[in-house]
Amino acid sequence: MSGAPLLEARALAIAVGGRVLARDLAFAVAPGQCWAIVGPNGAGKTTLLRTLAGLLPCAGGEVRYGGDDASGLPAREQARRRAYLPQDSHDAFPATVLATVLAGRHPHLARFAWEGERDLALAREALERFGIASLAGRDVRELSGGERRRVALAALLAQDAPLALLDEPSSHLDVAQQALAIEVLVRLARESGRGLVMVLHDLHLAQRFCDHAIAIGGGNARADRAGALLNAASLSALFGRELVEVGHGGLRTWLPR
Amino acid sequence: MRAPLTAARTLGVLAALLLVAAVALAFALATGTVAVAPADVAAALLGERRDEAARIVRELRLPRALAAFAVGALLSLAGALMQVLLRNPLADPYVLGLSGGAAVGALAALLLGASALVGPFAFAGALASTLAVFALARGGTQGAWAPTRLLLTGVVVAAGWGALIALMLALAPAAQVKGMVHWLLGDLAGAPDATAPLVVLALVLVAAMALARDLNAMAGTGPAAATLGVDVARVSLVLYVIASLATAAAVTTAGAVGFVGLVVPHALRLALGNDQRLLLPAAAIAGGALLVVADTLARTVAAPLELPVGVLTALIGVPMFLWLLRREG
Repeated sequence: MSGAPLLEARALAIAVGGRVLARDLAFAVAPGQCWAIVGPNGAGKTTLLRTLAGLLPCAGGEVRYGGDDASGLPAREQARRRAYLPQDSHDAFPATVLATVLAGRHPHLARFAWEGERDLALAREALERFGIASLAGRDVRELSGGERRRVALAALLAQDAPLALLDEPSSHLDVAQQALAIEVLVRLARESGRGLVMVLHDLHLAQRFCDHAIAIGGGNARADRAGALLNAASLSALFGRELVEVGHGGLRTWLPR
Repeated sequence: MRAPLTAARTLGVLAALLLVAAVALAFALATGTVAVAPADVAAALLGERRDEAARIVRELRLPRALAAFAVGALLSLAGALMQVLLRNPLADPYVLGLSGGAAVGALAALLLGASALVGPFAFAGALASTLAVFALARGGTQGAWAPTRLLLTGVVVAAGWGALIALMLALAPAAQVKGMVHWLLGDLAGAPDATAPLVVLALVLVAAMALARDLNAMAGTGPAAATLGVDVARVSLVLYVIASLATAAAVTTAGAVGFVGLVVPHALRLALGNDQRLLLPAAAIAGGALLVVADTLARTVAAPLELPVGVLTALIGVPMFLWLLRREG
């Protein structure tokens, strides 16, 4: 598996309810790379991410993790190779923050095994990275939306998979926390050779942190370097409205005129 | 707030609960029209005494207490499992209509005057209901095990059984109605051998414990279970089968005893947290102990009249549950 990309899409087609949202998508995520998925509402960003995560079947082509066809891997092995952050989490039952984050260790533990020192250390470290170590003993249902989001991010980190697929990781977070959260993920990806694929609505975050992008919209998806897709002309075409670039120093974003 | 659960703490809590269950059983064996001193109960169990009191303890009270324990444990465990399957803390063993199916079977046997066949008929009814809900809830765009679809199917099937039960009660000769109502409320007076429900209990508990961490992922607040490597469809199927089997075994033994399956798992979740590795065995032991005590009270408080134990579980369970809920809020 060494040398093979963490994630590879080959001639991938995605569909929901029989409606094809994109076809012939091909790209490969190498260790240390950060990819943004951008596009208008309903274009299929979440469908694409869920297909990449193996939660939806490919409508065509295939998804590979570390050189192996993902659909052929046992669920547990998939879970060791990729982690997935859904758009929202549900809390039907009470649970502490620490227990929630420890759940990320599930694919690493044998059937009757209990979480050990190392699992606990990884969970606590993940909480620290997102600045929520002090919440460890709290019930997740008592947290604010933003705190809850950071708990979900910490659980994803505790899963310790080389590939992380995130659906709007910055949702519910304030502007400072958005930048901090994505910074933590990106730094970790670059330092330890992980791969990140994130659905991002905030074009500023995509421009600032991602080296590659997938633009999806109008039944089409393109994968390329970030610079080739994140520019006024491409984004205006993608969102169907004229967008203008605004910037300060190295920070840039695009706003509808 | 509590520290993360460890194997040692789990064993400690379970040992304490087992002690409570042992006390409940001792209470059941010592109490009744003929009071037997604890020392004499022990002597009777060890076979050191062979008088009338010893015979009552060994041949009447012990089988009934064991049956009560098995039924309470099965219902409580089934409730905890259904709550995970449906991701809903309000689910109980009967929510998917299983007790209705069993009741129609049992009442049919009573109507036909075949009281010896009440058990088999109830089991057949439970099985029929289980298969019907399973077949009807499958398919659909959200997958075979979407909790909402399963729940709605179960509730509607239960309503259908409810109509049939009402019809049978309305048509039944007056002489038979009392027996039928007793069965519907749950009653251990005619409880047969406890062996079958105890064996089912052991099997279901082992299967549930093997899945406990998968169930944690499914009921949990952490990453989606499917992305943690849990085969959700397969685990759901096993969950459905063992919860149904547990409920069917309980209902066949004692009729539709209510409330244990809802209250015990919920109360324990408030007290112990939602880690299924502790919650499932704790629910089994505590549910068993509760029904042993409830059944002992049912046959003694209004003696020589025997109350249906299901009425007592509700009378004990309702205020306890409301108190817990208020304390939590």
